[in-house]
Amino acid sequence: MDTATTTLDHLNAGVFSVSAELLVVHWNLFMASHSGKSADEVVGRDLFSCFPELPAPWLRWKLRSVFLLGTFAFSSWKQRPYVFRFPHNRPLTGGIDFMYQDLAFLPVTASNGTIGSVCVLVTDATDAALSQRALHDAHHRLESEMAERRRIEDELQIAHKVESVGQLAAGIAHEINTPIQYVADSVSFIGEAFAEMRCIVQTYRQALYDGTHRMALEHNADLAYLEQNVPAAVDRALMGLDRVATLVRAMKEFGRPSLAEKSFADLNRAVTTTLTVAHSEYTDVADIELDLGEVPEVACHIAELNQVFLQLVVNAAHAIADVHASPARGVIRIRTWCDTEAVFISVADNGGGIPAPIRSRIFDPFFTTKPVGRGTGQGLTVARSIIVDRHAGSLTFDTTTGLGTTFLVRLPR
Amino acid sequence: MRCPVTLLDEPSRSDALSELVNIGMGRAGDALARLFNTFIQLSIPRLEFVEPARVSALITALVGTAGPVIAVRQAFSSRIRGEAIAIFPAAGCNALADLVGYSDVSSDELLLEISNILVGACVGALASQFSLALSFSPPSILARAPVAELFETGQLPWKRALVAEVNFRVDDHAFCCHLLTFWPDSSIDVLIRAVDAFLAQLQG
Repeated sequence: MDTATTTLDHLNAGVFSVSAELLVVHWNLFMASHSGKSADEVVGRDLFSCFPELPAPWLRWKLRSVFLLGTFAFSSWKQRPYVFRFPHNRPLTGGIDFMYQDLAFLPVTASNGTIGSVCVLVTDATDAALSQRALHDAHHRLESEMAERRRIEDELQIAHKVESVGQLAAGIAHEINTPIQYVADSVSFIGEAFAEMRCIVQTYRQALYDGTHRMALEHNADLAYLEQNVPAAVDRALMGLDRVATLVRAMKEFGRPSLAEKSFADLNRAVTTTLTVAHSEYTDVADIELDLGEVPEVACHIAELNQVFLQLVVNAAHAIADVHASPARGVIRIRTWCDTEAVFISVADNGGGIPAPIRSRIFDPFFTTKPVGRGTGQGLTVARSIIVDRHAGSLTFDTTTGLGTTFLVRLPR
Repeated sequence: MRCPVTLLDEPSRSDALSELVNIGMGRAGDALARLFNTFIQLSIPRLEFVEPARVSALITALVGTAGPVIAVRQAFSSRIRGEAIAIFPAAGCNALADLVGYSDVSSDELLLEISNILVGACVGALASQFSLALSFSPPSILARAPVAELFETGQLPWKRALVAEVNFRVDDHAFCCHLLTFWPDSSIDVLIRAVDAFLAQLQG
């Protein structure tokens, strides 16, 4: 046995070669030990009669292409896991059927310059294949978990929105009830006044008919009072109806469902809408100072930004209520401005500020300092997710103990 | 054929390179026709020098589309080292399934098979013109992406490369594939010396 043959026999890979007639020319020890057929049993015989289980059309094509073109050919376990049915290297741990294989087909030039035989190198790719399969499974699991997380985040956001609207409902009912009350009072007064006026008109008609003097009736009906107060009552009723209409319009705008695509929206209008809707949340504890600058419309999910502004205003009102005992009132300052790259919205309160130990945690999910029923600890988490994840912006804050807190929203133009 | 800039100062050298590439591709076409048992149309090869920043624009120009494609890469080495890239339409090469002699073939395996054959035939024939014995590594799918996204141009480890492009059409099949062979700067000198040796042989 020559040195080359001995070397090939010691390779930890299968090496065999076939002639143009597809007769086995060489068969190394790896091939013998894994196939169970020694070189003596195989050499000189037709490859396919020795191994009828081989994918014959595929393997014949491969060998023909190498003989004809004189170039390399390859087969990877990724496309064709195994060509030979060799036992795998995991008799104990298992998990696979056969040894995964990579094959390389190499042309061997004969002394006359033609391709005399094709040498085939069979490499055990089982470990690489199993590692890749494990990696693929892990990747798949990770993708599923990320999809699940995105779904939960979406649901959380919707739940928070429902919660916000729920919290506002009582205040909105009160906001609507007050103007409705004085609309009702005014309309009732107008009704009574109309009845008196009708009575006076009837009396005048009778006077014209019988020529009597009925001035005393006007005194009794206090016509001057009616002339002065009926128009005022009409104005009050119209004003009340206008207030209700404004509230309903704001609620409708605020509660608009979020669209999948961003659209351009006026942020100043969003701020005023939010203030209308949240009126009952702050009106007892704070005055609003608005400084709305000229800002361009921004491509955004406006319904989601409304939710953020509401959260910041409600938080500011709560911060003020915590330190300003009634009847003392605080101030919520809302400002909008822009530069060449972004639009900014700041919401500042003169409450007690955020205590230093909890500043790093205020955006954490479920973190809250509010009593049960006043906050779920989701407000700022959702707000930051809306600004950062959905709008590529930032939500930051600046706080001083005893002086108050300013939240700053930055949205790219 | 456009001649590489550095070879222009030696007209005989650039002519020889162009001729060698032409002959190599002709032989490859002949071998492919015998393998597939049908006529393969090969375009006249085009040679260009390219820098990393311009590689996407060059491929777009050579391939004739900036749209999505499937690219298969395969390395070759000897004294010259390089990489060949076969660019297929986004639909792949399923149209050629009946040209290979077996039916149990996936789309990816067919892509790798056809690429390997084209690269082996063309680059191998070219190398034999220079009396270079090449070794090939297995092909792999580089990307399924628009042409501009095939390379991360900021990460290419060469300053300049010589590119040979040839495209294939198969009679009776709605199929076209472009084969681009890249020799990075480290191999260009070896290539030029091989051309010089070929010329010296002719003159001798």
